[in-house]
Amino acid sequence: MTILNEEVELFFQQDIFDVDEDEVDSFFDKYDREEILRCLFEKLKAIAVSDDTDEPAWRLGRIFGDISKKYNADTVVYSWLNIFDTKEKRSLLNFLSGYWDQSRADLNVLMGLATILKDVISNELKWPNAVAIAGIDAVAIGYGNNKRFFEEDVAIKSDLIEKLRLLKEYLLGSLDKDPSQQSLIELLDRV
Amino acid sequence: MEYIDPRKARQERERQEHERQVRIKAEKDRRAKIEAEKKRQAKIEAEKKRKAKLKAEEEAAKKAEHPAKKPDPKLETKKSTEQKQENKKPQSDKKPDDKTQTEITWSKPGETKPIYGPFSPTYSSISPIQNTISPISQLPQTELKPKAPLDRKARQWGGEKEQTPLPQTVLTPTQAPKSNGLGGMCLAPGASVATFGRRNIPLTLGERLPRTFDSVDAATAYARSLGKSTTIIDEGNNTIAVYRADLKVFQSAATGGGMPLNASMVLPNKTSDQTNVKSTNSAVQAIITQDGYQLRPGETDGMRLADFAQGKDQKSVALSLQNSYASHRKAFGDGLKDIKDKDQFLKQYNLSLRDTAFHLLSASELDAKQKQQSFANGLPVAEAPKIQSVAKRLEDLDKQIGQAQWDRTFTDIAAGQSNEGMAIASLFSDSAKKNFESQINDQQAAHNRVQQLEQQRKAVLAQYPLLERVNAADFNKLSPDEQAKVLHSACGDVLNDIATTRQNIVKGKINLMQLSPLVAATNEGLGIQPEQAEWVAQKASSDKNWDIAGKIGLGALALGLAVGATIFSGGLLGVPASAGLATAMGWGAAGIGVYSAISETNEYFTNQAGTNTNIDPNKSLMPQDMKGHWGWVAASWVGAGLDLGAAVQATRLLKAGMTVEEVIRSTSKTHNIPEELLRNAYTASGKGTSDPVLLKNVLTSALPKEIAEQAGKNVDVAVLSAEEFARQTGSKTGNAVTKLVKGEDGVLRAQVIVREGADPNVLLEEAAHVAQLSDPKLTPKLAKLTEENLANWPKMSTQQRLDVYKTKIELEIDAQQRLLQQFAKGDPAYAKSVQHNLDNLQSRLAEVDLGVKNPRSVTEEPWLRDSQPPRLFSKPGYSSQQLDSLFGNAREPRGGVKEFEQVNGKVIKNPELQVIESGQQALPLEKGKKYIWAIDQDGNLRIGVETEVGAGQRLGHPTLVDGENARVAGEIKFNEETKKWRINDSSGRYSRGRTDIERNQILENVLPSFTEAGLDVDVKYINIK
Repeated sequence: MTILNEEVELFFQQDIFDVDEDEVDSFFDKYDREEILRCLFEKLKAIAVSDDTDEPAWRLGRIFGDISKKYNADTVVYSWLNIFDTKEKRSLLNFLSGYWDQSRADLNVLMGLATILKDVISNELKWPNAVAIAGIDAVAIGYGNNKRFFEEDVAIKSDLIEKLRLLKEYLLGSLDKDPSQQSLIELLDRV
Repeated sequence: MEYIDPRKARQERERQEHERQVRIKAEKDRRAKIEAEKKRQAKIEAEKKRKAKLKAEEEAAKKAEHPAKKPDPKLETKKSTEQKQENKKPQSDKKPDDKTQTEITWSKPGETKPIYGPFSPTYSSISPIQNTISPISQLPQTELKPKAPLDRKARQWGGEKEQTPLPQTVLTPTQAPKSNGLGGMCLAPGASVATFGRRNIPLTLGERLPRTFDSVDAATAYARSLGKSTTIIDEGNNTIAVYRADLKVFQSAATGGGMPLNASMVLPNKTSDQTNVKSTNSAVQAIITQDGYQLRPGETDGMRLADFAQGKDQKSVALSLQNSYASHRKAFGDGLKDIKDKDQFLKQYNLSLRDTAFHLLSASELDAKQKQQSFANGLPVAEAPKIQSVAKRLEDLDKQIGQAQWDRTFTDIAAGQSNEGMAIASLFSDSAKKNFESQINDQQAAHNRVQQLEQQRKAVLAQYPLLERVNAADFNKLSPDEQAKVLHSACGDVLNDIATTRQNIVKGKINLMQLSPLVAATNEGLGIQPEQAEWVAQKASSDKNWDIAGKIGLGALALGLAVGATIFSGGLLGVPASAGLATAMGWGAAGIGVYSAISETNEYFTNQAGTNTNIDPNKSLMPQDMKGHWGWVAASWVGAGLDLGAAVQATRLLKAGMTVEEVIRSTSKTHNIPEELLRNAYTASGKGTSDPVLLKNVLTSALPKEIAEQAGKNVDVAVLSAEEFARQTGSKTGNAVTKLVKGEDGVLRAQVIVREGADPNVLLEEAAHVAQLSDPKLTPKLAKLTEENLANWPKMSTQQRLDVYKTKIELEIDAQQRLLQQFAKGDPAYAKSVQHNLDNLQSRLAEVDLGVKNPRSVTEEPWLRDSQPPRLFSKPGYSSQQLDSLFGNAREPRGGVKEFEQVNGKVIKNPELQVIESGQQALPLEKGKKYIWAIDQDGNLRIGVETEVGAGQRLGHPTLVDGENARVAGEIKFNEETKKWRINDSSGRYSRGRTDIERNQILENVLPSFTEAGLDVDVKYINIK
């Protein structure tokens, strides 16, 4: 079992949500990058089995998006996608959504996730609907905040836009549309 | 006005932000270096001191025992031999290569020296600590006189100089496993006796206190009174000693200086009493945390928080509770009368109060578990008749209460009209007056009836408190098996509430003094005398802070109180009966419960918000329940000729369910206004109005009658488009403003400017300022705020601005004082809200006065900015499209409202909710609190605190808006580096799914809402690059 630094672990339990992002950055500065990422790994897993997954994972994403870029959290977290179970995937994808709210995306990760989601909606991959929606949400906001960085590669941009169009069609065809889904469709319209 | 390109402004802000970050980073690095050096020096110093102290103690001990004796070379040799032998002995808790075990200081010739305190092999960074053990007989003699007669006069409360032990207790054996102690020896400072956490951070002993005891409970009672971390050690020979403990952990943490061990740190699992502290020495009987909790050795190696589980059955819980009272009484006299100082008394009393709570929670837990088990196979035969009979009586009472509440509502409405009538009684005939009186009496009778029935319900519930958690009418329709399932599930809820309440107590989230049944039982158990009881009552009333944690706590205690009442009335063999405790607990059980607690909580939350309170229409401005559409209905009827009170009353009848036609007919008859006029006005109200004449009527109708006519002559009302309003007043969010101008005749006139579409309520609030025009004493002050004078605002020096701004605040204070006086006998909630404004304004005045003395301290305050000339404002309000464009579209909470944010299906109001209404200043933000904010559908800023209501459960943004839609929401956090509050838009419920550009625009528009409420906050804009 991984032995985590107790102080960092305690910090991840609640303080991280309470203090200003600058303080999070200062706190993390005292520890190795690997240690912080290990705690993040555990935290995302812990959030996945809690009663409330989406919001804390998303807030954690925003916090990591807001602090020092040395963690490259989207690249790292994406590498965990295959080893996370379904619930944990949902936590991970909400994290990415929050992260890309605040920070420039790793475009390879963004494209990679969009490709996976395309497979999901075409039933090549089996993900529950809620997990797929969390993924679409992440990709939508990731693209919305990063489209200016795609300007140099028109081919990739058109590929991503095409995938987003498919994802939107999937959402429109989905039967159990909740209000957040509606707002996601609106976001896809705007971006 | 100069146009500022928002994009350029943002770029400039970003540049400044970047520069600031660079500066902060450099400063941070510098401070970190200094801090590291300080810590290194402090560590060296501490080590030096520790060594010096050890040496001094060793010398003192030698001197005391062998004053003139030189070191015996033989003894030294023997010591060395013994040490070697000792190291060869197998010891399960000792590392073979342990470097910490070697130094023996006060050894006695020929005696074996046990070694204690291994270190975890995983915690390599801890430096070796010398464990020393000394025979007790070789300690200085003063430490070995434990049992001198008690001298109360000499006793220092909580002082360890006290030479006398506590009296012998009659306590039952503790839960700690039997230990043979140290065979008459004591441990020396620095010995490690336990470890903390998974990294096994050693917890080491400090000095041994002089007082010793012959029972662990007595030693514990004494140790808890010290308010420090201590360890209770069984030294053998019937000697229980208390050691100070160096229980600081996280020495290298962000906190810098280390954190003293407290209960909330030692509970890794929120639902268990298992702690992350492990005893490494079998002589340890208890560890007392700084906040007075007891960690006792468990059956396995981990220590348990003994406060949680007070016994294996009801009898042992009851005995333990009695013993707990006995130990407090024996230590500090009956009623704690030996403690003369009030603060010290309350501190000790609180410990006992907490003990009572934990015991009753244990009793509740045992009862709930037992009941849950009994319901697993259906309704127990023995209890079924009682359960069903109580449930039927409850259903009957619930029906009666429902009817009585309905009657009360109607008598309230009728009495409201009658009060209005009585206020102008001279206009009515005697028979009409009698009718009014009769209606007022009916109202009182209806209120009494509801109260009486609710009391009856509580008394019935006390016979089977678990039924408080079910709806009696629904329950009675179920088959016995289904009833058993419902009650089984209710037991689960009780157990959850117990776990939550224990956590809330540990974390200090619950104010136990607010739980009156608990206070009553504690008073009885300790034998508190009237004078001290008064101290407790005063403390309870000064800390009025009824919250949801208290509600859950009361619900969790209900079963325990009922059990306690039975036991202490002689219902359980072997437990001495206590009539006083039985009565106190019986009263408590009959007086509380989930049902009543939830009702009280709802009432509290409703009242707390203060936004939807009823106000006597004769004594107030437009009441808050006349918001939006209803405000326009009332305003239109004022326009049709009704006075404000009558218009509000008529509108309330509509709200209560009467048809429009019924209301119009009766109002027309009562006030002699043609029905058609009222009907037309009602129709027009649907469209709102921008008619200045009607608006002026609304305004003057709120003025005191004696000045209405005169003041009305000096008031103009104008309606401006939102854009024009913003241009003329400099406010994007304002709703109305009163400008003062000097007329041609030299007389001051008020120009009340209303933004198109604004709610008429805001206009009425301006009436308070219009009223000031009629007071000649205020003329000089008002003259300072004329538009002619304010035109020079940007050119004024700081001193001049402070003078003008101070005048504005003084006028605002005067307006609030007038309101307070005028409505002193009106609705208490309204008076409270006025008082709230007044308090805020007076604080601001104090700030301004300080600024006058030291202008530099306030130059950056938002209220002194060029763009904010001090007018008498009222705000906000836009069309929904405008609001969409300013703050984003209103949206439902994503993922809905969480279960813990609701009570009985209703969304809880945030306990510290502030809806920043027209012209109101927000309360100052307090460091240490985590604030959340939201912009509601109407564009109002709402602020609350992210209140914790259970483990990991915090009241979120929906509790700011009653679970309704909001446009955007976020957090307000204090930034330690800039020393300023900073807002963000982090709300998973309301702020997701917008791009960085949209979010920055919204945040930019939100900022003025904060500054106009007097909150000086920064924004962290999103900067993706």
